[in-house]
Amino acid sequence: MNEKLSPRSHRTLTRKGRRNLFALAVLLPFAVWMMIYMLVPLVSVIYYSFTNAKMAYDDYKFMGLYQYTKMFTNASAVASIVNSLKAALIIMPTSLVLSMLTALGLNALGDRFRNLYTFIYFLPYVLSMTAVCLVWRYLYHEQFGVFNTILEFLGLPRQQFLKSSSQALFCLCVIHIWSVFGYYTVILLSALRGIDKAVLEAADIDGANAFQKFFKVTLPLLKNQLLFVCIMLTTSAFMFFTPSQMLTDGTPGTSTLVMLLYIYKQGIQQGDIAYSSAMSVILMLIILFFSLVQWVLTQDREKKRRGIKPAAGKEAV
Amino acid sequence: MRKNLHKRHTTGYYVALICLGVGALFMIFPVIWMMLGAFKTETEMKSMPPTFLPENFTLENFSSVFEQMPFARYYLNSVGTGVLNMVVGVLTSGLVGYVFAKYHFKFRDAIFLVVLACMMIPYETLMPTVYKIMVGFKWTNSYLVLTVPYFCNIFGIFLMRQFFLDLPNDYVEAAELDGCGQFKTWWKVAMPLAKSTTSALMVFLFMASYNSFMWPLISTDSRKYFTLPVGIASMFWDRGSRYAMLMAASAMVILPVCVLFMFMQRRFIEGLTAGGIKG
Repeated sequence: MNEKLSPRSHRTLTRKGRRNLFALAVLLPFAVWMMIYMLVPLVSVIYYSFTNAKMAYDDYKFMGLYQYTKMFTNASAVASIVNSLKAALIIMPTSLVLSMLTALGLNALGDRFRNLYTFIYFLPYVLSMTAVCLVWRYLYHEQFGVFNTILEFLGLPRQQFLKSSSQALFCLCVIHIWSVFGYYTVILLSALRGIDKAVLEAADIDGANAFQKFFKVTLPLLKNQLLFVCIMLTTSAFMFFTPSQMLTDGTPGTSTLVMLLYIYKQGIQQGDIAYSSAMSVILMLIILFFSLVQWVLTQDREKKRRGIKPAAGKEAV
Repeated sequence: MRKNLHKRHTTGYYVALICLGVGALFMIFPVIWMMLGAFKTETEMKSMPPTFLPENFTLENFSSVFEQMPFARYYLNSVGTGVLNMVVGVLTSGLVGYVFAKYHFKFRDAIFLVVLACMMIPYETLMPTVYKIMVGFKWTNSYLVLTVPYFCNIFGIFLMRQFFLDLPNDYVEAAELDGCGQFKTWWKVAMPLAKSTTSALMVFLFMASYNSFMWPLISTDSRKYFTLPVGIASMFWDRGSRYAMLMAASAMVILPVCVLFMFMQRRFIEGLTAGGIKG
């Protein structure tokens, strides 16, 4: 009788029991996935870097710091670290300034032009990096590339671009900056649009000029987003891979050999997973270091300004 | 008295308009150059000085792309795995995010913190070790390796959890009182309410899969399983001097994305910048 009235009475579990069962059924597969694709690789990267593990064999033995000493005495390994730092030094400030300026410009426009320009500036970010690398290879071409044609037209000497060891890394960084800075522009733009107009008007009334308004009002209000953009940019600058892997393969010489490409070459192509893991660990430490430095720097400023916390800027558009 | 319909703009407005306009030309130029190059002949591609518009308009490049490599297969691989990864990714993100937001269990917040911390790992550095694990599974050179690693996405879980945290508990409790099971409550009540978040997430997941290069490059070496990025890269390594054909292939890779982006600009930007704007 009771069974007909309540269709769920055949279940013996309580509500709490059912909820726990569901949570377990969801989290268990997820935990397995996390183990396979996140935690085990992370732990084994650190572990392998102290062994002599190879891709093809399963037995290996503990080697202490052997891989690290080997790495720091190897010329191409050191070159790859230097190249990555160079690339980050080119990519980071340039993208940051470009995206800030573009965001400020877009913020000054009306809806129609802002949307049109946002579309154009964001477009490279959604396109496949390999596909756009091909057209950039063509633009940079030593003989019939557009850039050399323009240089010739202006009466300047032709350049080797990707074939020159002094220019190649910079040229590849340009591709990377072109492809990503629109993304940071949109993030900063939406932060700018979230700033309360009244704050800027108050600065106007106090007689602040455009520069003072930007450095004293706008920038401090954008602190969180700028920190995020800086950390993301650092990571993406060190994860710079596709252009150098595809277009130059580290050449000429080792001038475009970045750390990630070195990891790929050693770990996948040579199968020396212990050695590539050591490089991975160094790369992760470098990124961690830069992120922490940026975080600490912004935290200090926050302490100085404590007590006069402005009440605007957090809401996104 | 005639009302001035046109808003007066400051000089700053015009400076921004013109500077950004010039910048926009630089931004779009490589894409336009690719599209134009796709219709030029090989000799025209290498002529000095280069022509802007194709002089001898030709469609031959497109057909030679399909002759030179199993381009249709690459297309199918990329779009197929992209759609599958997107659908599965949205479902797992929704489920896991929902559990982390609406269920209470021991160490829930600590576990979630660990999951979030994993988002900070520069994942590319782990790829050789992930590859070794996949070799151990004998999954390399199969569709498994192009799909399963994309099935869960920590950023997606974070995004969905964020949404479900803001969702009042009443919805969930009301549905359960009405006799919905746990799964049905999630599928029939919680997920439909999250529509705008899920559609942005779908764009993010599809793009992440469709554009990914390093992992498919590492994990596949048979043409059968190549995706478009790996396919055109290998075409470049084999036939690096046939620029017109390479432009045609690249144009075909980016064109669907361009069109989608044009029609769903807001969704795209929401999906791809969701982490940054909220953070």
